[in-house]
Amino acid sequence: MGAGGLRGRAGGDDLFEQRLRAFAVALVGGLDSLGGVVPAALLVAAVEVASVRWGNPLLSDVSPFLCLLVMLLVRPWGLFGTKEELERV
Amino acid sequence: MAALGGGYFKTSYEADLALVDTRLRRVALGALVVALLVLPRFASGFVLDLVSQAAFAAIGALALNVLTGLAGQISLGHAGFLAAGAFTTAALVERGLVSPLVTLPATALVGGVLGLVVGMPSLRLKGLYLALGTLAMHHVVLYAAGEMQARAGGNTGFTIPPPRLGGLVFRGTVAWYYALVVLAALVLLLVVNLQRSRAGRAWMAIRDRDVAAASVGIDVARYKLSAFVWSSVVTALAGALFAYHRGFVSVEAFGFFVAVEYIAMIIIGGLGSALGAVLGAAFVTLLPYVIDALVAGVSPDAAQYYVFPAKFGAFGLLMALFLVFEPLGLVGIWRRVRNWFFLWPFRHRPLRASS
Repeated sequence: MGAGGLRGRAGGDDLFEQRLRAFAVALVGGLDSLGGVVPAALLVAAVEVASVRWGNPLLSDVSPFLCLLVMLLVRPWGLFGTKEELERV
Repeated sequence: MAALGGGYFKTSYEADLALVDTRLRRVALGALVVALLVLPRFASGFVLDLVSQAAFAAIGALALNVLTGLAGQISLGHAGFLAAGAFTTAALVERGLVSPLVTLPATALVGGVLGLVVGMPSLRLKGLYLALGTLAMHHVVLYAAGEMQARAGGNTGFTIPPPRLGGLVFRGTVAWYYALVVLAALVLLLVVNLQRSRAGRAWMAIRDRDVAAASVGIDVARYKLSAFVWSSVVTALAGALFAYHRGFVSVEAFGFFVAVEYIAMIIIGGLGSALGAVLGAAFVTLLPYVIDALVAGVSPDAAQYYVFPAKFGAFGLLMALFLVFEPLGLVGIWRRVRNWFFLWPFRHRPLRASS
């Protein structure tokens, strides 16, 4: 919101965005599965590193969220979460 | 109002349709319009710029309010819609199509399609899942925008010339003040009318209970998507306005924090109320300046060190306080104060009110 807005200076926002990928990991693993967090974190990190290696750095910033989107489309309950009956409208 | 009881009824269809129904309201609205018209004669450029910023924020907040306040679909992706609008405009301007008559419809179209795409998951996902889905979309849109910015060749952003309409060039504080205030008023009118139309009532029904809404014959899928599309079209147009107003577009201006700011606006203002969205937009826009002034007033030396932490802290604290103590938001406070003055010295409306 402009010069006087609430946004932080360089760096502050990046750190903030870094934390957001934790949501992606939690959801990929399954929100109610504690043990799912570790494999999910490894998977998300592997995709991220792979996208740096073979893609480009900009893509690596969004790769956790791409994992999240794919997971929401395929298995909204995550890798190890309790399977829920999907509601469709 | 109705909860207060009392005999004060509308007796004709016209009276029911009128947006400003009493003489007091007509006078107040007229005074507000006159005040906004003559403000540039008296106020400094800084004040005009603040009002313009608040008006711009109000457009975005009203759009988000349609989606979150009326239809009950949480979106963390509204900064993405803004970015999509701004970057569509930038892309067209880069290719020489500088007229707003071309860019604005194109922006609206892109916004609409994007809204449809982002809205699709809402047919399956709810609550936290939907919020995270829109958050992911936000990052994807920003990635596309960043990629486009990088392709443009090491630029830090795109420069946008001031828009021309015929012989009219929008440039300078006063021109933009009028443009943004008028556009915000138009969007307000649009949202108020949407709210009481068939679509608005369907959205509110879906927000309150989608199963019940479906059981009374509301096409839940259609109306959920239409809420996303209305909201994203208006937000993308706001993004185009942002591009023209600032004259510069860069990915850095559309971080996740912008989306949080817009959500803060509608929560602090009062969810589901158009007036609340406007009040919240003004509040969140002006808050940093108030804190600036306060910190500078307390100790000018410390100002430069503490302003940023103070802004973040105050912002978070206010959000939490509003959620805990005033779920109805600023508009709830306003209604209570207004009713207190209307009814004083009574607590309830008299049975036979003189209007």
